[in-house]
Amino acid sequence: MENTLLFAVLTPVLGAFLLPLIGLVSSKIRNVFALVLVFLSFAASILLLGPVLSGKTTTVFIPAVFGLDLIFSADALGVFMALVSSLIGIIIIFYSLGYIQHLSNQNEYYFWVVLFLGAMVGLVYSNNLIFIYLFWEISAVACWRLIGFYREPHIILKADKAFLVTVFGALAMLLGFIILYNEYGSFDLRVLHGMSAPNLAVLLIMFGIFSKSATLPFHTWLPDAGVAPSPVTALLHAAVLVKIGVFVFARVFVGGLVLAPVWGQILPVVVAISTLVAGGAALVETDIKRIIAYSTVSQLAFIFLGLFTKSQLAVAGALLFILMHGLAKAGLFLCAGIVEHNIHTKDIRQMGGLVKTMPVTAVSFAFCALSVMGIPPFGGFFSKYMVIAGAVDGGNAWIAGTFILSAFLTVLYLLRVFAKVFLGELKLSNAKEGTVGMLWAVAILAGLSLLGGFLIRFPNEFIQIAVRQMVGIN
Amino acid sequence: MNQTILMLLIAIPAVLGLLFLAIRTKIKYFQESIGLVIAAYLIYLVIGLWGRNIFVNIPWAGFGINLQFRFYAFSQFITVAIAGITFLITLFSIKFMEDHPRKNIFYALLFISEAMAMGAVLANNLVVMLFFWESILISLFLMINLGKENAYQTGLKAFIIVGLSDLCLMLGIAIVGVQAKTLVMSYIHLSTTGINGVAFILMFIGAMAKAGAMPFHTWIPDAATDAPLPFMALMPGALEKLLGIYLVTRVSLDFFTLTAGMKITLMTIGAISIIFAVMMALIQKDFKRLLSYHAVSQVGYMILGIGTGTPIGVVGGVFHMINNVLYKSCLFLIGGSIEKQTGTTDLKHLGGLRRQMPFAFWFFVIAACSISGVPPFNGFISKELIMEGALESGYGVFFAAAVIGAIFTAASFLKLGHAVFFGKTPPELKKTSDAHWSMLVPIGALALGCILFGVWYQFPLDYLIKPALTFSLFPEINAVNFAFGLNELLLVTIVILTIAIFNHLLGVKLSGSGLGASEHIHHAKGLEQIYDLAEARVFDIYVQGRNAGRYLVKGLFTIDRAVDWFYQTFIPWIVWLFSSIRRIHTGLLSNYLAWSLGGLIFIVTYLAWFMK
Repeated sequence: MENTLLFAVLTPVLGAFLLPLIGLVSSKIRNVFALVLVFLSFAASILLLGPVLSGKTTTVFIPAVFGLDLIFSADALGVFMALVSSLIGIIIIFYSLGYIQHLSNQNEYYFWVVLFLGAMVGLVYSNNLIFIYLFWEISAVACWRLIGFYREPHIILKADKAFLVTVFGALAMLLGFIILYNEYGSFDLRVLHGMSAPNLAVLLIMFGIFSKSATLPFHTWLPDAGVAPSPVTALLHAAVLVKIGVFVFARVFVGGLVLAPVWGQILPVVVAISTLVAGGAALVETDIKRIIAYSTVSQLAFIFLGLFTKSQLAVAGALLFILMHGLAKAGLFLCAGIVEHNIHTKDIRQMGGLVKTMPVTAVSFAFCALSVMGIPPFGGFFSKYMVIAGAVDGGNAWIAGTFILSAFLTVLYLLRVFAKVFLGELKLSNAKEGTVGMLWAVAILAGLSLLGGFLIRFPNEFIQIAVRQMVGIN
Repeated sequence: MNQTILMLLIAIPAVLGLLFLAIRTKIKYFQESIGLVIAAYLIYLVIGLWGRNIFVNIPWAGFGINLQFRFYAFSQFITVAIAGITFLITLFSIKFMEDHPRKNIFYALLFISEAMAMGAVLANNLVVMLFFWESILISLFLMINLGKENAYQTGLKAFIIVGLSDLCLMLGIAIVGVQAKTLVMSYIHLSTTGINGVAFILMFIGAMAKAGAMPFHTWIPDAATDAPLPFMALMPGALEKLLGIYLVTRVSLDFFTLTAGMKITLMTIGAISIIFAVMMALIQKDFKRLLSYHAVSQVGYMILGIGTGTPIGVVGGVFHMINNVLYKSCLFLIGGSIEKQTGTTDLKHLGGLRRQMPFAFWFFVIAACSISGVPPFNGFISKELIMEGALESGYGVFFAAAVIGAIFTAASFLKLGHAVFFGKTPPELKKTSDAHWSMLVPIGALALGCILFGVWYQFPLDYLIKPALTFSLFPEINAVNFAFGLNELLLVTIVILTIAIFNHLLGVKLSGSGLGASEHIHHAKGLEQIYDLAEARVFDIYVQGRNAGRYLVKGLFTIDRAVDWFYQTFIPWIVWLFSSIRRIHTGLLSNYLAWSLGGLIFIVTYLAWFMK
């Protein structure tokens, strides 16, 4: 199993470098190879499910100097995150085949996307803080290159903004890690487990986490990043990259170091403000991708709330939220991509009535939107309920009330987008559906969002294992 | 076996609905015939379970969220009503929806709604109940959307109002789940002190908004004009009342023990709904819109009855719920048959139809007498019980509200009947006839129900309502009884009806037509201004909430922009201040990277020194 674990990480990371070379020969083979790489990583993570379900954790340990040991550990949390990331990754790459086909720099595109997914898998399995930081920065560079993919000056400025904010955040986090090392003499999370975290280190690490997971006051790079191609936005800024911050919090503080109680009071307030501000901004914006990006900021706060709360139900809700939000939000961005791709505008005021010409996109968008809103029978209902109920359970009833208000804002802005884009009078006669592959991608995400509600039993059983491992009850 | 049947009650209509969505066929009466057979079969299934107590428990989402269902006296009563009304509306829709371009979606949503309503009533786990309860939101929106061209605007309004109340319900359930340490509904008994009180209010908001009480009613009159009519008979007319009042009852009698203050709050909400909605109904000039305000007003009676907390009032409230389903659906369907036959429900274009549509006329008389509380129809009995409960509660003001509501209810139906069935027939309607028998049968069946539940009121009271309300907390319900007699309440009824008739005659005399019978009230001093404000939607929480919300949202957006300004403007400005840095600030990425790298090296070196 150790080899499977290494295989899951190294296949996409190393394979990514082959992609531009293959691309010189044939773009078709390159595209298939990119899909295969991510799929192999996904399959390897599925194989790792077996040991996790039987209560074992696969670990790879390669010692090195200065605490820089390479430690990969496939526990329930890691496998869960790897599966979610690579599953969504596969669907998004599949969608890219249609979206990206007539753009230049495709070699670079596939290289960064696959490398990013590899870094993501590496990050979620890492148990060494320095390697977490390393993969984190690889993802930041990928993010920077991909946001600036169209190479226009104003777009590059946005890419720089995203890069600078996240990298400075990450440097602050690195400082925090170094303080931890100074205190306990190790970067190994297994050694740090159960230790109390110095407040300065927590503060610095939270800078990193909040900047990566786009939380107020470090969130404004995320809506600006909407200038990227839509599959990139879906992958990086909705489904996978922004979950890095959340994940690291879960890894380092929920299932690792012990936070001082004061953080349990400060942090929920911060994310409560973040969720409301982003929800309000989403109601004002008129650019479809900016609206959905603000929605991401707003929903990430729900995940944080779950993780900040000392309640098993809340933590489980947060993990489920990562899955459900990833599926649904990726679907929303991909649908927005089809719309924008075909009518060449992102301004919702110029759209309308598209349900008549783009029925599949409209229905998929509606499904994903309902899941994000948390309306049953969609999967988002359970994650939202569990986070809210968990917050009440953890004694944060008033914060939970704020989040109910935010959930209402979610209903409002998503209905607004849906109505403006797809309902009413048809304003553009030239609008047509996306390619078959793109439609399959959004339909699969929409279908998974729906199935997630009915088959909630399966993700939740696995999440229960993850939560038990994290809070140390076996 | 019984457990399987119980699950089938939810699964069969759900699967049927999904099939209808998937299959688009040109075969005539495809959905209709299959739908009718299945709807009838579901009635058969429910009746077959009569009197049993069935529990189902299937593991589902973990964390106490399991598929738990319970079939007992209360849920059997509601499920029978759901199955019955779905059957009648399917039958009615055969002709009514015949030419609708998207009728396969309509039938699909009809059965999906039935499945969700069944699930919500049968659920014995709060989260499972919420799952089905909130799912109805989607079919609510889509069914309204099947109406006129821009009906989606009303659909959005409904979605937003009901969605907000469902979120309140979600928070309420979350609190209850923590406080009671269980989500199993049959185990929950809480007080209403402290945070439990908050939970009660949140759950109550969810329940009463579903039932359509004020101030969560404002989408209903809009839907009346925009949505297809069978939707009105099905959702605001029947399913939502059944679900809403079911939950109001469970919440305020079963889950929580109410304090005196809470009871007064409930009764006040009920009284306000009765009075304001009926006053609005009185001045409406459209058949369906008028009925929709009554759909709100009658909920007021139910909440008032349940809010009294006295056995007789509660029995009256729940009895009123089922009676309301009978006569309100009947009235909506009569409106539908008139719309189908004449092409309009605008009272200005109707008149004298008792000659052309005799069946519709007589069924209307029965249903209108029921809702107006004329003895011996069913509405009379339940309204009497509620009034008696209001008297027993010791607050005369609520009794007065019920009486005033009854006067205006009767007056508005006198006006409606007069305008539609009496007076001169407009020339273009001379050739109208009664609707197709498949539309008259469901109307007739509902009208018959109004008579049966009135004359043989003992049957519903003893077999439907009292068993449903015999919670462990509420055994004294069995002592409740009703007797016709020359008591003071009968006198009150006679006075109410007399005032209504005199008022009507006065109105007709003043305005010269049946349609104008309420004009003297509409334009009365003081009232006219209030009516003008209401017509300008000053009391519509949706419109007002939108206006107020705009400022809140703008404020939030300003915070966001301020944060962005910090990055976009402030930091570059600081950078600009240092001119040396300005020269390096070339906008080239390589430079930024070099700076980042330099910073990193600096930090690492510093720390390496620091760690020594």
